[in-house]
Amino acid sequence: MNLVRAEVSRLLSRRFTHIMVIGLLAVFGITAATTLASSTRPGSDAWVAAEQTAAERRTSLIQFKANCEAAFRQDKEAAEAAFAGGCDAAGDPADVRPEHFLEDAFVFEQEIRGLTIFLAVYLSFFAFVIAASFIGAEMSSGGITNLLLWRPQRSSLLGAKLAALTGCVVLFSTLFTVLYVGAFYLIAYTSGWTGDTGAAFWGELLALSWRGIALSTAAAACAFALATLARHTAAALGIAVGYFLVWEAGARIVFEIGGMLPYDPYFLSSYLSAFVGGDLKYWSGLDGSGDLVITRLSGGMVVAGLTAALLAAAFANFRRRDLT
Amino acid sequence: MTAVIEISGLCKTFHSLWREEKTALDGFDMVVEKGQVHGFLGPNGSGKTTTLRTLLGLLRPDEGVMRILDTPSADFGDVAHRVGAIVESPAFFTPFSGRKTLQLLATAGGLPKGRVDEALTAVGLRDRANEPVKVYSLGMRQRLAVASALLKRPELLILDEPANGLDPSGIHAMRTLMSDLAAQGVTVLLSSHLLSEIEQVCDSVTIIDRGRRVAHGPVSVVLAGHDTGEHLVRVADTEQAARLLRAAGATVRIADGALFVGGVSGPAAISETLGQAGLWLTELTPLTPDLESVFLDLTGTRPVPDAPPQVAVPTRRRPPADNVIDLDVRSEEQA
Repeated sequence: MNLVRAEVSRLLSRRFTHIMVIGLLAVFGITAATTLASSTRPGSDAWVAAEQTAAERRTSLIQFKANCEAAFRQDKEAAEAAFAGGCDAAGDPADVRPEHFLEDAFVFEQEIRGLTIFLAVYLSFFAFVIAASFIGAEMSSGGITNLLLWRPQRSSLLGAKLAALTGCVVLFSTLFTVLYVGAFYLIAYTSGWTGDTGAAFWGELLALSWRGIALSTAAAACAFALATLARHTAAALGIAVGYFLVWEAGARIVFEIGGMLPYDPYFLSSYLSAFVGGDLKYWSGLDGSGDLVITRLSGGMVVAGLTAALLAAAFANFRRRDLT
Repeated sequence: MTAVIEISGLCKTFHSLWREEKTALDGFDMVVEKGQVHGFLGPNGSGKTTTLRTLLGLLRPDEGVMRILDTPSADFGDVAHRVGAIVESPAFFTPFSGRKTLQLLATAGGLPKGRVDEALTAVGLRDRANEPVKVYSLGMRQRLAVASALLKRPELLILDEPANGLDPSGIHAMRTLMSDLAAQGVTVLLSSHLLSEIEQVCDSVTIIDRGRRVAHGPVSVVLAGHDTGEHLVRVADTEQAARLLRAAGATVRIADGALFVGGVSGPAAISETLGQAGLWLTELTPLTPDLESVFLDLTGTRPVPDAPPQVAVPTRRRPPADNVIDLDVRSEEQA
């Protein structure tokens, strides 16, 4: 416990941690300020306009569905080609609500899902960088050697560092998510529109937020493991950047040029996206045929499995490594 | 006396995919007894730091037996709270202050906070403790490293080059600190290149070369083992003096205008022999060995004119050959 306390103190005393947190808050501040500046509380004129646009949209959808059904009655083969997604593909007119068309207002119910996914991505990025630096600096400077002269139990020492790091990341991510969601709710409440925020909405938002927190914690743990294995902060960051440049960007282009579908299952980003955002659909044909799916569960399993494998490798390596 | 460190037959070879394997320790032995200040000497790359790192569990030995504070080194964790150590150059996270650095260690070790100021004062860093380590000079970092080792109030203190980067007053303070600690019953194992310091402060010494012990024992006994009984003699006519002394049964060599005379009963015999022939001495000095000359001889690192000494190339493990000079002073003494 003493060791965990010391490691928490070490993490929180690091200037790099302070700089990254300030950076995180700055990004949040800019996003919130931009939203606040561009949003106005809808007046009666705005509601009338929105109501009108919604009515037009409903009419359009009803018309689309009628045309589609008529086409299928006349010539099924031709209709299948023209309406590949079916007659309900454009949406249900009953789901069209006026707040969807409030042009100058920030509608919390509409926007917060995308903003929370963005939050998950940037919390994960910051957690990755802070974690890599936290352990990488210790490994490359020899600070870890000093500590081992005090606590020669290598696994316990590394475990305490990991516990301190992930504990801080979970706590910080949770508090920051509350601040983030709360701030945007307040913006919508005062200068926009909160929308239909029932129990189901909050339940879904809570689950999404937890997945974001889990992803940032997994990112921290993976960075910790990579920096432990590679012994340097820069090496861990290099591995991550290299992976995303060479495989996620480069290989994806090669797959696309070669028409080698489906390629989505070969990319980690597909699983990350499925885990946070929900089931990811992809296709086995260039014409959009043969739709397949990476489920949220399989995305979560890949994230958990990768994290566990990297941590196991890091602990096994550190336990036996010569510290020169 | 009780041994607090016992190392026997320690071997360590570093393997690499890209480089030739490097044998750092090749059957090394060492004994440090309780209450001693024990000097640990060796040329660069001879295996000193590898020995200390292996003893402290930072490296895995290939072979050998090590005990520290009567505990197998594999269980070093059981006695770590009784051992203060710095190994090689001190490594600190430089944005932290000296005080913060020690506070973190004290917290990790479950020690009271008061120990931090005590250790900082002992090494003379009290007034600079709140400055970040990055503004510390090498000597101040060295003092901080020693403070971190003192924090535990250890029974055994292992210091690798503690005087590295210290100014003369720092070296003096370090020497006084070692003596004070020894007086309090702390055993100190001191690895250093400052042979005069070792000679002044240490009770006993181990000299290592290419991974093997080449001499060990009390400093005075090690020096006595290398006393050739030679005298430096200066006279006006060196050729005639050499003839007379040789005729009297002495061994004589001439170098730099002086005579180096051995095989005589004492300085009186030299002055008598030369005085009877009317040759008057301008200098007569007994050549007593110092630790530096012993070290240079044993490790084969004595500089040769026009040939700057080179750091030895790490070798593969050698067979236990006879050509290794093993001046086992302790064994001789005990025998």
